[in-house]
Amino acid sequence: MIAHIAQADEQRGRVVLWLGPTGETQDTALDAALRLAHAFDSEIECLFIEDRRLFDLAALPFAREISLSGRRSRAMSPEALARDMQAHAAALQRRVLARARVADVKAQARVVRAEPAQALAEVCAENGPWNVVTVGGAVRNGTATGHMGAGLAELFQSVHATTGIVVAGPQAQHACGPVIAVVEELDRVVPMLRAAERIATATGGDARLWLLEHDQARQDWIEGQIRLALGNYPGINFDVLDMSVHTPRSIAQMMRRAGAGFVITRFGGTLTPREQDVAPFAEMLEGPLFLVR
Amino acid sequence: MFFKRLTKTKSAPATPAEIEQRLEKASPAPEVKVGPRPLPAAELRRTVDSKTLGFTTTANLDVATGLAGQERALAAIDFGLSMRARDFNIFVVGPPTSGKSAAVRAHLAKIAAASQTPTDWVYVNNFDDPRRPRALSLPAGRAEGLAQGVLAALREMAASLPTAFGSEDYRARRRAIEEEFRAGQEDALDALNARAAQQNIAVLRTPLGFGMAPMHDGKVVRPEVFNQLPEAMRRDVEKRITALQTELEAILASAPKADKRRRQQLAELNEETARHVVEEALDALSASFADLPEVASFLADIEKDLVASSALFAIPEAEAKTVAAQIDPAQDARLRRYLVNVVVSHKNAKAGAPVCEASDPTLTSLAGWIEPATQGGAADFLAIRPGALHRANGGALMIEARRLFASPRAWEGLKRALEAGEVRVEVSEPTTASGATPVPTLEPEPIPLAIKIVLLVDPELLATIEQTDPDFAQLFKVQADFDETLGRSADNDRIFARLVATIVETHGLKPIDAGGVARLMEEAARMAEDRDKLLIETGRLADIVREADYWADGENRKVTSAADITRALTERTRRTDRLREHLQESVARGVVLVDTAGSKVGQINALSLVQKGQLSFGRPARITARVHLGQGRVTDIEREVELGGPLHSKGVMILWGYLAGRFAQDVPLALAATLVFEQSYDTIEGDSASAAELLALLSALADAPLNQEIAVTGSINQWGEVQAVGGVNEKIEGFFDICAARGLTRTQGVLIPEANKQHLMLREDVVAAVREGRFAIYAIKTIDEGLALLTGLEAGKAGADGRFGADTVNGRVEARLKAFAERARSFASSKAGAPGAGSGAA
Repeated sequence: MIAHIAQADEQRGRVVLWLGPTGETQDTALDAALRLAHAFDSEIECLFIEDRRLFDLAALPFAREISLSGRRSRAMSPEALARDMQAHAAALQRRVLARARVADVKAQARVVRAEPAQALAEVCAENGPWNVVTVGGAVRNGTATGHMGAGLAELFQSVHATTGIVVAGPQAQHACGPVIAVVEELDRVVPMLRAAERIATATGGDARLWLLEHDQARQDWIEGQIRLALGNYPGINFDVLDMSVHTPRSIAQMMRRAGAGFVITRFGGTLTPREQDVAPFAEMLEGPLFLVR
Repeated sequence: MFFKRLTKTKSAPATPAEIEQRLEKASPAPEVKVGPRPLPAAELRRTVDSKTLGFTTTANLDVATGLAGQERALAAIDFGLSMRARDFNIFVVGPPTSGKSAAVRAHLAKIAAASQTPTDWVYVNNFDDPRRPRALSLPAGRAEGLAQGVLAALREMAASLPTAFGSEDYRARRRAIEEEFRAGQEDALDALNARAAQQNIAVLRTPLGFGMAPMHDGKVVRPEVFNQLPEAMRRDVEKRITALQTELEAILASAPKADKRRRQQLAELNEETARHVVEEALDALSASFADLPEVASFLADIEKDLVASSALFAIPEAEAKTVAAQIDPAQDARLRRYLVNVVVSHKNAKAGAPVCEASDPTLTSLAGWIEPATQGGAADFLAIRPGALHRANGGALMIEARRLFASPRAWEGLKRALEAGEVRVEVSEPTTASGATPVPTLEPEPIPLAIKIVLLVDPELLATIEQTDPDFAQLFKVQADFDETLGRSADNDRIFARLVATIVETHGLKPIDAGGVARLMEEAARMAEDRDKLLIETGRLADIVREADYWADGENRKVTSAADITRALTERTRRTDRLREHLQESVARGVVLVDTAGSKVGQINALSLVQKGQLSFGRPARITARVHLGQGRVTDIEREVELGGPLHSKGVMILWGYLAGRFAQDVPLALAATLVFEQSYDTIEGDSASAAELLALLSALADAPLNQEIAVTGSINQWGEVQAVGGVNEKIEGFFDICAARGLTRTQGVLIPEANKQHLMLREDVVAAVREGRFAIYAIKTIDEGLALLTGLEAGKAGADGRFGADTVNGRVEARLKAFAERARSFASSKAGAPGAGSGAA
């Protein structure tokens, strides 16, 4: 696993901030994108994707848009939809660019009309391979990022030039504090720790390593192995968690109590085995969740 | 006798009176053939014998309060203070330099110290209507305790509330509520999504809501593909979408109700979390103020509001730790409204009633003001600042009337407060360039006013106020009149000496010896323009004493003496003497014509008083009179050219009344006369020259020359009596200086009204000249006495037939007037007989 993000002068990746057509944003997600870019001395590509499927819908004769309150509905048209999209895009990008200026992070903005997964894949491929996608809106139960036009699994599958995807639950409030890297395999210990330490430079916390071990009998052995592997990292905060007694929910609660600013874990791992497990886990956290391959 | 005098001289120095007698015998006054005798030198100045004062230096004396000799004013102040009615305020009348401020302040402080200490006052937020802050009164000395107690409680809450709201317990319960709400709606939406998916319908999020589109193989069907479907299929899809949309609308529409329930549950959780912390912080404070129902009610309001507003403290735990350490209730918008603004605090509950002084009595400095908000937004109750009325409430407030009336709106504001019996805080003074008054954002509750205003006013301003504002008399019913002078007596001399001792102590000066005090008393009598009185304007006396102290310093003296007092007076005169010297020089060089020798018909030396700031001196002025045939009119040239004031004109008219009454009983006054102050280019006011004018006129009529060696001052009435005038000392000295500059002839002098004898406190050099027979002062009661003195002729008395003797001055006047009358009659007859004369001539 590589949790690296290309530096600005490398021209081999960046933080791609994905903004969807709803105009909704999660502030902690925006903050996470800025901190990541800062930590890796990278830059932000603010990508507003006008979901093409919505234009297909708008072209249908019976298409109607039901308001969020459910009290009003109106006929849809491609022209009106384009106007709404444009307004959202301008407002969001202006906001992101302003925050980037304040954070002293390079940023550029772009609007594309496509299917989201395809658009993200193309944008990342332009600069690959070390991109990280930050989802600008909050993940939701059930669909995670589906409401923005593409699911996480689809993204991991089709967006090759990315090292991971950052998401934040609706309750996430901050992107500062300790960075907890969750590992399940020994060979990931060092790169995950390296990534955590790098990110921690921008979150004002320390880097911590939590190893999830299902086999109680292996725990002492694996702890020794990890300590051996971490010979170059004396004083590292390191814990082995017995997964025979823990659940993803209890671990999320521990992370919240620890004030985790960032949590790094593998998409498809113990904590987020499936796409639909991501949102419940992210919702338990008060910081962003960095899902790596 | 001679032997005895020698013995006495050897055994003890002669007293001034003895010296006076000896000199008068040795050098008799100038001989006067007709008229009054010159005054003896002893009557020209009342000296003070320092030995009679009974102390060595002022260090031996007890200080006086400054209210010495002001028993009447004191009684008035005491009366005003003890009258409870709010319209019995006091106005203290006296000249600006009378020292009444310090004296009244000291007296009030004495009374106030024995009075009850009034209540403290605070302003607090009105939780029902923040625009109208509440005023609370507390027993003296307890306001600060309340303010500090509230502040401490808030500090405690500022630390403990965020902790309570950041606790795992609170956050878990909050999350549960949020989760319940979200899950409810999301479950319904998930179920709808699932049903839609089963029917190949996608629920898509649009910019402003949701839309539903047909799907095929997991992808939204493109319009061109959809349009190629059979119509029945298209209708079926449309129908299904419409049904799902209706369901979606129902789910979404139920959200507000659920959200309301969520908010209610959250509010209850917040209140429960906050209540414990708030009660814990306020319990002790509430118990200590349980005896004051209004304060207890305020603390209950705080508790209620804090609990209700507790959501403001529901901040993330990580931030709470930082915030709690830095929070300042006075700056924190969430806590400011619970603070207490102490506007009046009597820290010492036994200090007595307050006595304050409004040194800059503007409207806002009296009634208080509301400081404008500094960072935008509206000012709150903490911006209320007390005024002098607040601080002096329950006691007395001294105000200098001149400053009060010079400040726009201040008097009106004070009147409003006194009439209403309450003080309302004013909005800030206009600060904008346009001078516009800011819109008041607050209406603080007024505070009941129980105060005595002590207005310090000088007589001139008092006259103006009483004339222009009828409300003044309604609100200020007690007059405390400050006497400017103290009658001379042994007791009062001692009081005066104590007053000097007070000045010395107040200003931290060297003590003054008895000789110095005696010299100061002589000057005080001169300033009082009365040999039998002493001026007690402490301001003016203090100026002299301080200057004398300065000169004593220069001489390395540890005690100020008479020489230093004299030096102070001399130096003061020299500093301001430029104008006097200039005018004297003009006379000496003949630019201004004043004769001091010889005799002239219709010409006399009058004496005027020049006053410029501190400087006051006498100046001789030549008056001339000319007479001729006319129709009974005196032309006062000063009046004609509008250089004569009304009092001067009045004097001239009285003069004419005298002339007509005495000489025109049988014959008409066929006379025209002109009177003028020669070489005078300034306004002339007062009637002190009317005696001189009459003498000049009578001289002109009688063709009797007047002695130019004698100057005249005094006013006359219609009976020819000479009346007292002001500034007599300066006037005499003014003529003396001219004569001395030209060389005293032993026949020069000044003629003054008899009634002015009591005012004589002449300079020592003038007294010495009189003592040595080189100058003379004459006092007269009637104009006839003056006539005799100045003409050397008998004035003349009317006989039984009403006629005067032909060789008297009055007889010559009578003859001249008769001649004028006859000439006028013969002129009128000849005119009547002339061609064209008469009524039918036309």
